[in-house]
Amino acid sequence: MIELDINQKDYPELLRNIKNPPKKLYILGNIDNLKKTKISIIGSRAASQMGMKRAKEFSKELASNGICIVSGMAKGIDSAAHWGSLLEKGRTIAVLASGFNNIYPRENKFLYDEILANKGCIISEYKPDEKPESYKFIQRNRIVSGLSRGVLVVEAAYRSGTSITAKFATQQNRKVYCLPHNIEETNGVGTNRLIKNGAILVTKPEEILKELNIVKNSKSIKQEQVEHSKSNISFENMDNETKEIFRTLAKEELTVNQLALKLNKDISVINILITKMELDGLIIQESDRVKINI
Amino acid sequence: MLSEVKTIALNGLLGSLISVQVDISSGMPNWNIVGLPDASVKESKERIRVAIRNSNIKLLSKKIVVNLAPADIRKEGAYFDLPIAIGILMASGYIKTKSKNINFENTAFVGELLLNGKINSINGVLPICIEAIKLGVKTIIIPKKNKEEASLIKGIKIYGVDSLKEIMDFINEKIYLQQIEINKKYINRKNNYNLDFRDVKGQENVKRALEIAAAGGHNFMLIGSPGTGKTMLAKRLPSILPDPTFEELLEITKIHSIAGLVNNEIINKRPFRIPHHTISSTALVGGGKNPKPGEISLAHYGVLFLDEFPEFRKSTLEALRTPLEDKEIIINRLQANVKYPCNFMLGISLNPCACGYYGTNKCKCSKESVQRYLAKISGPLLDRIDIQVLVENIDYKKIIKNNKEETSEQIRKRVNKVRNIQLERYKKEQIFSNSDLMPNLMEKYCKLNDKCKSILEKAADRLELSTRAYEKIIKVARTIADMDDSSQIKENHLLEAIQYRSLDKKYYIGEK
Repeated sequence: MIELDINQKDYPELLRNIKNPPKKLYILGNIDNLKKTKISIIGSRAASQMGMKRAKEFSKELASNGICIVSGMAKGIDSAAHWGSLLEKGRTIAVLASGFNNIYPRENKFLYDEILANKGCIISEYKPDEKPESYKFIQRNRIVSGLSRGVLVVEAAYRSGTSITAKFATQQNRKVYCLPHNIEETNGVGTNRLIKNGAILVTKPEEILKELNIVKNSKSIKQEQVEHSKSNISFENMDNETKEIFRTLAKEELTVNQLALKLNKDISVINILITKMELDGLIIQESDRVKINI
Repeated sequence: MLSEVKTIALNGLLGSLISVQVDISSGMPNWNIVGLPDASVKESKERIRVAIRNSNIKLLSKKIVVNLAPADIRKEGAYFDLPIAIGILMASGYIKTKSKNINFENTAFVGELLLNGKINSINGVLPICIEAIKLGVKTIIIPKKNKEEASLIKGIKIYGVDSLKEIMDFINEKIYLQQIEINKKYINRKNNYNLDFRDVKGQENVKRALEIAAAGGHNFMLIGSPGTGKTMLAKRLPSILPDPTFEELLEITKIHSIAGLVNNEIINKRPFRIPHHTISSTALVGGGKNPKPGEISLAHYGVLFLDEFPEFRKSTLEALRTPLEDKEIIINRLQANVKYPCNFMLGISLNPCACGYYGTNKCKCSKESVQRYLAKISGPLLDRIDIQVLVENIDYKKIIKNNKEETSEQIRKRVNKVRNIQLERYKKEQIFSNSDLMPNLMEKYCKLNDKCKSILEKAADRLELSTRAYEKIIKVARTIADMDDSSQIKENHLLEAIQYRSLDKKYYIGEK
């Protein structure tokens, strides 16, 4: 664990300049990520399927262009954003509202491990043993927006933590990007209101890249990816079969039969592996579909 | 003059020896039947009178009293015609009271008379014969039309007769009748199922689950959208059920015989009953004024499949609870107290939600509505379902490409093997399959090692499995272990078994 004082050189410049920056940051993992261009992706915890999918897609696209994805490691959109980046072997930063010893939500312990294993980093302004409390989540949100150059709001209900983060972002002079929603969707009320108040409406990840003046530098990205894949230790603890299933499911949700057909394995073997993975928290089964747990 | 002939009265599957006493005396011409006969027995008067006349015998106009003793047992059914007719003929001296061919002391008669003097077939010949042996009867006379059914039985002399004249001649030693021989060809006859698992493309998961269910006798549940093939899959289940033993066949035929469903042949496969959802509770569990076996008893040693489960009336379904547990049903009526066995495998099918399309984009139901729909299956009933499996929509294009499927014959061979392992293991325990395991026996036969225990703990923690799921998972794991020819339950068996508890899992209804 690295402790970073506000006066130290490595303390992120963007964060230092906000209204009430944290005096001290506790960091786990790769501290280099703080120097990269960062975008935060935020949204509801009770997200819709479509929202999760969009968050993942945007995150993947941005990460593949070398952008570090910042989010709060909560359920829903946050998790989807982190996973999107991880699937592209990109960098990602999770900002916790509690100490490292009290990961919240507990289901995301696996995500936590994956972020660290993939050269990402975890940040908190709280001492390792501090417990999560409701006010800390709001405090945490100012760091999420403060760390990054822009905030992408995927889904937000009328009154939500996401709306608060977006408010912080405006106060901190950050760009706020919003995905438009159908006017009937409860999870779209917040984003639509933000757009009304001047947030930037985006429909494609490229629009964010353009805004940030980031040109796709294919060469450097490729190099980076090679570097990553060399040192990729994320799936270290899984056996080959589990890895194969996880990769297949990361691409698309499947039913057990489809999975068995695709991997050309016996259904009983698939059932055994799937249960094992479900118990390890790698996947969940919703109705008849199996999907990775993000 | 007084005569006495024996017959058997059936109450459920239990028989009692009835003595038919006939007295013919001079007095006002009159005919009375006493001894708690029901309407069909009382009506026999007319049939017997005409049948005797049409057999070219002239009865004198005398006072006839027929007593069916003991008088406190209720007698029903038309098969008392023959013993009463024999009694009358004997009392009027048309047949011998002592015959070389028949010893009236230990001979029972059953049969329904037609007006032309012929003897018609009756229901329940098989249980009557079996009960007759228990009651010490040595010879039984039955309608010839029922001879196939009776040919299963040994330990008693059985004669099939065609007409009143024939039996009279036999008793009077004018002709000699051939005893019905034991015939086992029906049992060995190969089962022909016109439905085969070969016809089902894909759905490997459900096929596997049904194979496990068939092997261990587990109750199962199929959940799937309309058109996914739930009923199609379930209807093929009989083709992979383990071959029944001779004793099981006897029991199955007995019940079908009482219900009049035997049609003069032995039932040589396990029954598969699929009642419509408008069924009344009486039709399901049995009953009526003279209690008849219901669908659950007709499914004895076979499968009762309730398609579109939530459409059944709630009271009907709840009536299933005790018989599922006790494996028998006692039907209490004012005038009867009948017990029928009902050791069946319960299969149910349902849609995943009210609109039927949960899990696809077509579904319009809210999360709450899905929960409400699933709540229609009461907890106690869900408690008794071992295997829950989802039937998925399959892609039409993939069906065509798919390679050859296994035939039911191949699957049944495996199932038979696994069932034999269980029969061998439980031969001292009076149970037949893993699904019958009681908690005390589970401790003995389903020992779990530490690794398995930790898997179960993990499952409880992560999937929030309900406690009721444990026992089921262990039983199913026991069957999977048997399929794997393993004497111990290993981790993989348990892991696979957990997979068949879809509904119990925390995430089954995801965020909508």
